[in-house]
Amino acid sequence: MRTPLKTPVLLAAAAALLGACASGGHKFHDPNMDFGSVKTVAVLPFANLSRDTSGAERVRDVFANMLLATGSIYVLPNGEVARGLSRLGIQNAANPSVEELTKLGGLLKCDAVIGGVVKEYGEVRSGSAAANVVSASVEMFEASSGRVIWSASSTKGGLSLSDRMFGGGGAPVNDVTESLVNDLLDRLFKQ
Amino acid sequence: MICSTGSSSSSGRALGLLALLACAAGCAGPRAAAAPSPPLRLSRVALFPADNLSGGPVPLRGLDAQLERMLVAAGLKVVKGDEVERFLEHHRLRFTGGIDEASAAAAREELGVDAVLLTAVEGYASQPVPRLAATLRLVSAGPEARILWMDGVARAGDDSPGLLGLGLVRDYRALEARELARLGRSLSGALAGVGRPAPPCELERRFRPRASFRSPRFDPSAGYSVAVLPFLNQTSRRRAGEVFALELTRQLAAVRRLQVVEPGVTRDRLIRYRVIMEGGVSLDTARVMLDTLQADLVVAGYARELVDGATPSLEFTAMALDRSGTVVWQATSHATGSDGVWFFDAGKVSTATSLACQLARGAVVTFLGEDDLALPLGTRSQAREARQ
Repeated sequence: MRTPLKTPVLLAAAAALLGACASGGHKFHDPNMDFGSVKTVAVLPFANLSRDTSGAERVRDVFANMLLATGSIYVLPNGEVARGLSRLGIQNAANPSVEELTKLGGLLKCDAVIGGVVKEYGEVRSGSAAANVVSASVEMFEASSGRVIWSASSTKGGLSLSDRMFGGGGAPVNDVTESLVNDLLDRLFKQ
Repeated sequence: MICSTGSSSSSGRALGLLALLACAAGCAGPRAAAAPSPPLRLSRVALFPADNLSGGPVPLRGLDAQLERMLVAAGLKVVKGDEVERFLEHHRLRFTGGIDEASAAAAREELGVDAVLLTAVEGYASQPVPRLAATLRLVSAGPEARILWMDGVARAGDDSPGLLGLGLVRDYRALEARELARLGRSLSGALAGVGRPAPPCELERRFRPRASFRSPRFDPSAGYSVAVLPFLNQTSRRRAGEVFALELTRQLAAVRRLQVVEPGVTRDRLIRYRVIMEGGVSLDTARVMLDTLQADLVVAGYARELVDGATPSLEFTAMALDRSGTVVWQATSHATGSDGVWFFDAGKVSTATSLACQLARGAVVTFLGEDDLALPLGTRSQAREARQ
């Protein structure tokens, strides 16, 4: 005999499972900005707050490549960005000032500059379970004014309920990175 | 007549139709058969000392002796040893992983050779499981320094264990002899004009790039002259960037409408113009290289991970820039040797070089499409004519 409580319990369990897999994050779009005018961007080196020394560079690389792969925006080669940073003598490339941003935009002839911070990259553990997690936030600055026109953050991976209950190592870190970048790009293109 | 259908009954007609289909299939040539290529007219070849890209010690002298046997078996006269050492000393050539035009021309005059065999050893282990990974290329001795033939080997003793481990190879010498014999057959085929001058690696879906971009303004069906720059090495392994660049060079050389610039020529220009690629290739660097090499495209990239061993793991990003300084192609690939392997290690890739080769092949396919017809590598002018 079917009990009336069964459906709510199942729904609650499903919600809990979905909640475990969901990613956190936020986004901001400047309502006065015409994003259609952004044709060329430079992606700065991301700041690295993770334990993996190459984590930020890997996330930046995947982000730049997947942004270019959308076909909507042209992304300058990393080597050209490095040349621009070197020529302007920008010491802290991950945290440039407004003045530095506008100069860099003029030198590289780009419409916007993207910077970011990688907060987590690699394995997290909880008891005997372990899984990869990647967390990053990115900001887009208008090259002519240096103001923030878009910002978003996302976290992907980590331990799901099934990982905790049944074990398992989660997805490879590269797959988690791609998922994170996809989420960030969704937040850029879907206003 | 073998393919005639003379039966009047319906079953006879059906049989006849089947026979006709079988006959038609039998008469058709294989889809990927390469068009005949002219034989390479070579008689004397200089054997340069092998370049060690493996990141560890390799007994190169023993390998040189095996390579000499391979060349002799292919019907070539070999110039080696002291004569080559004197030539290298006289021209102050310490790097033997490539050759520039001036040195290639000098090799023709002084050594009297038609080509130079360059070897890069990318992986070596004699025990517990023997392993050999090397890329060989034959470069014309003359002022053009063209790549005439390019092939490679990447095998481990436990690649094909077979039933009850009967296929395991435990002796390094046996593995080396078997694989160099295979390379010798590839070279003989190219010399006779019946084989591909640059056989491509196998293309597997699991090793396609994870993200790739190709500019809509780029025409992948046209002919181009391409220079591959050393990749920026961000791994802990020494010279990993050169391993990726070499694998990409090999896969690009397999595309018949491309003329790939000999890496030694590219290296010579980088040194001569004192180009330092800090942080990767900049637009200025790309323009300088394209102008000095008279190339249409420059390919550069980043080596992010190169882990050899039982389960290799690789990651790289490659990009191509055209003469306007625009990125016309970019791809990021990463994989491990056990990707897509579910049962009994079937399909496992056990050497980093083999994995790099397949990843490079996948990347080149996203760049230029699936071109399996590797015709002889044309001259630069032919490539330009094809583009026009």
